[in-house]
Amino acid sequence: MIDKLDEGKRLEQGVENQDIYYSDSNDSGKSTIITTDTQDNVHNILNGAGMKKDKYANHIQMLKDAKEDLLVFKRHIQKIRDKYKHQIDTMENSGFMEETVTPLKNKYQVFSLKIDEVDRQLAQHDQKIENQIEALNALRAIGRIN
Amino acid sequence: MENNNLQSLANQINWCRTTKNYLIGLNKEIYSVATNYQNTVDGLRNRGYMADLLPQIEEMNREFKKISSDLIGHIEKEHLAYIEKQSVGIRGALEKVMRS
Repeated sequence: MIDKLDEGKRLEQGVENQDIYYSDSNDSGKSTIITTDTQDNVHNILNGAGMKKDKYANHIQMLKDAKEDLLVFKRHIQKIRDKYKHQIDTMENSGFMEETVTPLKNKYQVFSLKIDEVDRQLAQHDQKIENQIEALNALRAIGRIN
Repeated sequence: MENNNLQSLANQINWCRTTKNYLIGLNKEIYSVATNYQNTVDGLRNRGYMADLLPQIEEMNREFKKISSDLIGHIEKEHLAYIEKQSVGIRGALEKVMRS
């Protein structure tokens, strides 16, 4: 099945003066992008190795969005940890007895260590995603040269 | 004296409510980020992401799922349950004071 791409997709792909058709029924079961220029010459812009050149940008954007999502979360958990710490620090002022406060102070220590663990993992994932973005950009550059 | 007691119990109930809201909000946020993570991995897989790079992303997703569900469980079992228990006790004390 071949569908003509809508205007949004055309703009997303940065192609203005060509008709673009999107096929999702090629032999490999993967989608293919076909363009026709004004002379009606057909160009298959697959790189032939499995991944489509024109999809690199989409994949990179998805990775960047994921990175941003994790970064926002990283900040958020720190903020909540601080707020929780503040709450525990003010428990006695709110009238709680010491025997109620102490166990929660101990629980907070464990919670805080777990937040540290999540924070470390988020930093590692951020770096790994960044490495993948760089790898994709490198492949993209090679694709342009070729 | 009774007014002070009432005020103190009201403060404690307020403290419990605020703290529970922070922690429930955090759990929701963790769940939402884990869902987005999974959606990203599914999206990349469905869009023919590079076979050489996909396994690493899938492994990261599994790691995040594990650490996030551990944190959610910890918050629920250790913190929210404890605060809820205090909250029930305070409400009971408040009712007693109101009745007397």
